Amino acid sequence: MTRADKLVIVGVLVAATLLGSSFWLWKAHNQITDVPQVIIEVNGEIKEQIPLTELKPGKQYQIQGVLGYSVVEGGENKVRMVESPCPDKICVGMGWIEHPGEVIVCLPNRVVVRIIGKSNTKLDGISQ
Amino acid sequence: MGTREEQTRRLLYLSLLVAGGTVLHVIESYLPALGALPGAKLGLANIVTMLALMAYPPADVWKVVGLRVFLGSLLGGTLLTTTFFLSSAGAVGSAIVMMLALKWGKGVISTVGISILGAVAHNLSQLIVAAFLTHSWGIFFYLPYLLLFALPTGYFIGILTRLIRRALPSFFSVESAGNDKNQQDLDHQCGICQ
Repeated sequence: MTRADKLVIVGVLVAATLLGSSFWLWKAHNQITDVPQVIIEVNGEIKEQIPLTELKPGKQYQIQGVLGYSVVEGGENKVRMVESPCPDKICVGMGWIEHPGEVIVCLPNRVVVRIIGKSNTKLDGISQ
Repeated sequence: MGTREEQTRRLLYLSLLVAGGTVLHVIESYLPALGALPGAKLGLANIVTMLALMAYPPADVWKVVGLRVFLGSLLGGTLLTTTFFLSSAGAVGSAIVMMLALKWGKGVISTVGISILGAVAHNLSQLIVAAFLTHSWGIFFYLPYLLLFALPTGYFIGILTRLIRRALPSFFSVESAGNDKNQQDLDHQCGICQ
């Protein structure tokens, strides 16, 4: 092995260590956003932001909407609308949502409950 | 170009390299994944790329690399799938980097160093293409592990290439003999394969 070879090896080791530790730090720093967040909006304005894992069964949140109070209830890592002043109750009928990207909308009361965060889809396919 | 005989020899040797590369490509695809890392592999087909680089000009190397990936994917049943694009990216990326390393590092860097650089380039170009295909840059989290992995595999492939070349002296007397002489002198400094 020549000196240049050793330089290459050391260079790769240093690059791997630097990249690895910076990724690790970055991940540790952004830990909070890794947990999906439940966001409750009224007229597009965020009223509540709760980490999905903090929801407890039976825990309720009263949200002042345009028509009146909507009641959002937590479950085991899921959330639903239990009461709404709207006439059709479509939002209540939607039941539980638990995955990032899912939404409950109550148009008459202008209340939106959504879950944001990284969806935990695994990589598919094999790389070769 | 040289005489008719030299041309025939060149055609023959290039064909042998393509055939060898194709077989190694297919064998490699049957090996179980090394560790749990996607993309971590030995890189056996890189041996052929390196041999071609040491004996032939870049135009011939590209023929060998292109045909190897095409035939290997055809026989492995992965032609035009995601795997095929990843293989192509890795093969082209490592060939470019090893070509430059051989050109600029002539007389300084040995086969092992070139092989490690090739392995790193292979991983890097595969990750870039994979990121484009999956629309997620998250897979770059694998990069540090892949880099660490490239060291032993690149080292191993470099040693193998050196041994194979020593077993095939006539291969390297064809063209650019001076180029190879230089490289072999360097390789003699390596203690492991003496």
